[in-house]
Amino acid sequence: MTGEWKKGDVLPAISLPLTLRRSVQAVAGTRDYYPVHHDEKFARDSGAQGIFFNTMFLQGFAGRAISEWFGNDAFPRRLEIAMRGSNYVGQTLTIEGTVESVRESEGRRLVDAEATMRTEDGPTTGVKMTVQLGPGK
Amino acid sequence: MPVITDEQQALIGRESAPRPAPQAVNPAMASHWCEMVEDPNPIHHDEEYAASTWLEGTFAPPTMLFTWLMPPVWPEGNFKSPLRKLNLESCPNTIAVKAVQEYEKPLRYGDTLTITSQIADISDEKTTRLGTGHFVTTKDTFRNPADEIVGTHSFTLFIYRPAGDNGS
Repeated sequence: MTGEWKKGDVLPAISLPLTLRRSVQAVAGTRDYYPVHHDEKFARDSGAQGIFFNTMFLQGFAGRAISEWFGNDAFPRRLEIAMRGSNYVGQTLTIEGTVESVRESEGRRLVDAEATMRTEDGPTTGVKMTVQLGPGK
Repeated sequence: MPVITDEQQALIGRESAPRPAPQAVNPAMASHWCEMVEDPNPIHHDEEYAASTWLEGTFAPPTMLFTWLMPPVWPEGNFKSPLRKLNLESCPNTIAVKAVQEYEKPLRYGDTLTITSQIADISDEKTTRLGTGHFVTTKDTFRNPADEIVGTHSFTLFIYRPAGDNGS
């Protein structure tokens, strides 16, 4: 992608099914063995509706979206994840967003964007990001 | 404990001793991470491609930052989170509220990161729909073997007793 980014540009939806297998991958991949992320009974006893995905998984999904949206040589500089609801096994997680500003700082070409992650239950996660674009992007 | 105590206040900003990450940044864990979120970016494993970019070589996904400090479940290490010093025993539940990562440099394979941790902020007692407790923000700083900061992670947690639980 070589187009010029501008405020208001849409960052198209990317979806990922939150299967039980993926929750196992997330436990091992993020090395987070807190039982709410792998033990259905423990999760329900603690007030959740089931096994839910952790913060690191959400960061990883946002990281993938940044590469898809801004290119393989885009480098994130800041990522803020605000947890407003849980992302449960059995749901589908979707991220989409909008470019908020494009600027230059200390020789870096930066894009600020906001995105939302949602499941079938509605928005679960607010995302703000600042991404450094590669040359020519 | 509606207001934080002097002892708790004194913990804010106090940096822990540096400790090494359990594993060096490595391509095996990075590929498991990419598999987890179906991230096909070749910059994390294709040396020829990565070397052709302004980032000058492969590196682990930046968003993996926090994963490099996760302690092994066996054998148990002796690092105690600064959170334990807060003495919030009346608040048994914890929920993640917000995470902010800042990335300074790529996480290069082979680098064992060094981590320091601190409590960056503690709120006075607040009541939300979940219950009553404190918003606590921890900040972890990650350095590479050249002692350069590669990134920071600020994590805001709500540590609380559930509504209806009188804490006794």
